[in-house]
Amino acid sequence: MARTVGARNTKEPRKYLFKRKSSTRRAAPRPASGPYPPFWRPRWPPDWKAGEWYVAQWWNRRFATGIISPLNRWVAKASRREFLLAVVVSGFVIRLLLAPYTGEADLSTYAESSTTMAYGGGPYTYLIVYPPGWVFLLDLIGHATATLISIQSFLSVPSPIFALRIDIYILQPTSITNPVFSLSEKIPLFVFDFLLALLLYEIALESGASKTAARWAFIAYFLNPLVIFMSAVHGAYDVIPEMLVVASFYLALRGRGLTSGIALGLGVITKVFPIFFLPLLVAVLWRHRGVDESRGIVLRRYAAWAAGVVGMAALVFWPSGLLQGYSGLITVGPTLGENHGGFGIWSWVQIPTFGAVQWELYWNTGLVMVLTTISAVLLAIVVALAYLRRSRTGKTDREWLLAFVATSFVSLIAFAAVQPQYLLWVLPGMIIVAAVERRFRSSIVIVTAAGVIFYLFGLSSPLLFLQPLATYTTLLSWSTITNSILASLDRVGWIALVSSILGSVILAWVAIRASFRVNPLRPSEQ
Amino acid sequence: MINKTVRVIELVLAILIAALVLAEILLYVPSTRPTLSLDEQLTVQSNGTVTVVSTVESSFSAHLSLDNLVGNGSPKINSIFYYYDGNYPVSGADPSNWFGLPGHLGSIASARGEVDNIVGLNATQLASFLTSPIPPDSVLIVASGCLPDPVYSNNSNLVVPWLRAGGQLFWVGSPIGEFRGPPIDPRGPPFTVISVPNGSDPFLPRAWLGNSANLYLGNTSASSELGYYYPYAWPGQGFNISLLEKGGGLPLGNIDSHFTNVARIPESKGTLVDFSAPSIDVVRLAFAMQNLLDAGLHESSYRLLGGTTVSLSSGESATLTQNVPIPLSVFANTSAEFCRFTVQTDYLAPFGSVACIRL
Repeated sequence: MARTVGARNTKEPRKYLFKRKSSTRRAAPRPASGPYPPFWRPRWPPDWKAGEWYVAQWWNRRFATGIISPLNRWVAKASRREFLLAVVVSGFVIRLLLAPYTGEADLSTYAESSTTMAYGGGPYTYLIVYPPGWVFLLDLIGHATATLISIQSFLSVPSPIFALRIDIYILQPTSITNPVFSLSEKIPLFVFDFLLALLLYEIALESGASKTAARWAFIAYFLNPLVIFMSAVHGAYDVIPEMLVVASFYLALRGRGLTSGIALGLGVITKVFPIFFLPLLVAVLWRHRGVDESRGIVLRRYAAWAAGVVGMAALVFWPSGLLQGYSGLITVGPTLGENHGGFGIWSWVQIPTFGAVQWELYWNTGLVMVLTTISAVLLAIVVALAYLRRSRTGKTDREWLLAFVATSFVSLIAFAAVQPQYLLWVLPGMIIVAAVERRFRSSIVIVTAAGVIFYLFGLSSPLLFLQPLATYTTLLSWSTITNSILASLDRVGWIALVSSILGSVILAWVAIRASFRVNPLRPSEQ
Repeated sequence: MINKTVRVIELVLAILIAALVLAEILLYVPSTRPTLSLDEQLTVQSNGTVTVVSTVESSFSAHLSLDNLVGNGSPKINSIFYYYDGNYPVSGADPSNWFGLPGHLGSIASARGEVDNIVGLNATQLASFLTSPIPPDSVLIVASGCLPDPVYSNNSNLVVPWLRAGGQLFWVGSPIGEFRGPPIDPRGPPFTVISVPNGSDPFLPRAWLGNSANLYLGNTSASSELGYYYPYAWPGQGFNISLLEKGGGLPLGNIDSHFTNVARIPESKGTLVDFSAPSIDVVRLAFAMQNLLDAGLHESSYRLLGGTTVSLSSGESATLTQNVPIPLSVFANTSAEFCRFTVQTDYLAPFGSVACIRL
């Protein structure tokens, strides 16, 4: 008999990580037609006016009933093999088609770092701001690529286009990565995309979501256009630390102290942001201790967890003596000239009216970074404390999910410029909550749309597609690209600014919603 | 009982740890790390030649340039003084690159086994430096494209006397002398500079300048042999090569038509190495500067005697023997030295080595 995804041995009672709770929310009236998939089912406010009902009914007929419902039926009824074939294979195929001939400036930086190491340089001979975990992985990617092409071929010639706009300092000269290097760097990201989607599916299922809702969670991540864009086009590696953070929570909830610490430690040495999850993880470990566990067992679990975190830091910093060099790089580096923008809390300073504020921040980047980082750490601690207050020892709960989402947003405060790839940090938490509690569904769609729009219309968009087209095909010439950019520079700048501010407002809105949900003053629903 | 998901996650963690350990082994264990070794023996022959026997071995595919140079003494740099002051503006330079260039220079020097001897100077310290005795074997790098008011204003110019007294200056950014910088408004952009009409006249003859291109794609013998590439240029600010050479200068950069974008310009006892180009591509800029410093071509007495190139496949070694004739005028100089500068010319390869012998 074919085993379906999520099925369990019926002889053992299924162990939920999180106890199902009875809904205390007011039952909302449902429109006549349906059915809706659990992931998309809207809550209809009872006081809607006739016009709003009309719009809702139209939406219902055209979109929900016409597209989503059949899709939902398929998601619910498809066998495991059908589901995997359709979703996983199509996800990988789309990624593999996009990956070789696209890339953002970050990808060139990765190729440059790999090139220097392949030529015998040290991890930071080519100065790069990423922690050594990622730099070491770049070294391996370089070795793998060097078995297929020569080291000299990792990068092609620098594009002449950007030298033509040296007077405005927006577009810098850059290199273009070889398709083989692009694939070598991106394929591991695809694997981590898949692993994270699988983990979201599993957590959703164990948190009480139906099999269909859990499958939608898998789809919402693995086929998410923003996620695909990040790993397959941009080559951003944020999926690796994010998967490790989610894994760390999953293992902590399962009482696996050592490996939970290892997962968090690996995340931190790959990209720094997972460190903001540290207070919440400590709280989750505390709250999810067994009621009958002795203090010694709990302490041993904490010790193992801490050993995991410290051990991973030691793995990359200690033998190589990199700590001093890397800490010097990150503490000295941001003292000047960070741009403020993207989806961060500083995006509004890009409006020309606020030029003075922008330059004030520019000249005080170091101070701003210190203050925002301290704020973010304090907020992360507040979220962890709020979580401790709301949840109860010895009982499983789902409050950690909301605290996880809140912490994801907290980490974004620390960054002067929040790039679209950072949105990956908030998507997994929202997707699980959406599958379990049907919250954040619209937020997921909006955040995805904001990220993709920023990618497509932001100022770096020519780097993503146009440069490789000019390099590897005859479809475009450098002069065509240059002239197009020069002709549309002002318009593109405004689109980037608007999508940036819009994106930051959306993020703030979602973050505030998530924060209210973990408000310690609100009575617990459990 | 451990569930399947936990087992899968722990397997992924184990694979990641194994990958990191493998990367560390490849990076740090001598027998596994990529290596390029060079052994050079220089012998002065009685017939006025220097015999150079070079044995080079590489564990990866590499292209090398082996260059012969002569000059007064060996190209020794005791200290590099670097002007950076965030309270003063930039012109024709990205502020981040201005800030980050010494880091890149230091990292290339460290990879070559050299001492990272960069000393930072703010505007006030720069003024003091320019009026103090010149430290032996030192260079000053100004990559801001404009001079701060304490050293360059309507009434005073501390740079030109310092140059003429024997100072060695690397300049990058807007044309030298064309802009001066009062302290910046902390609520304004870092580009608020004051134009100085004919400000470059004390530094170099205006007649040398020309050419409208902003990308110079050809190579001078210096850029080709020393293996660097910095093609960016200011329109109208290239150096006419024939006039430059007649005036005792040396073309060092890339070429468009008969103009170069980087030149060594004699300034009485001192030397100006002028990158007439914006400071925008900090990695290529750092390699160009470091190779010039290592080879000694920033010094007025140094000159290239040609060289040879080697291409190695992975795991291959090669031994080259060259007899380099030394000009008689050089032999007559009692302090003259012959140097061999070897550099890997592949982009981003850090390898570089210099060996010298007294003639």
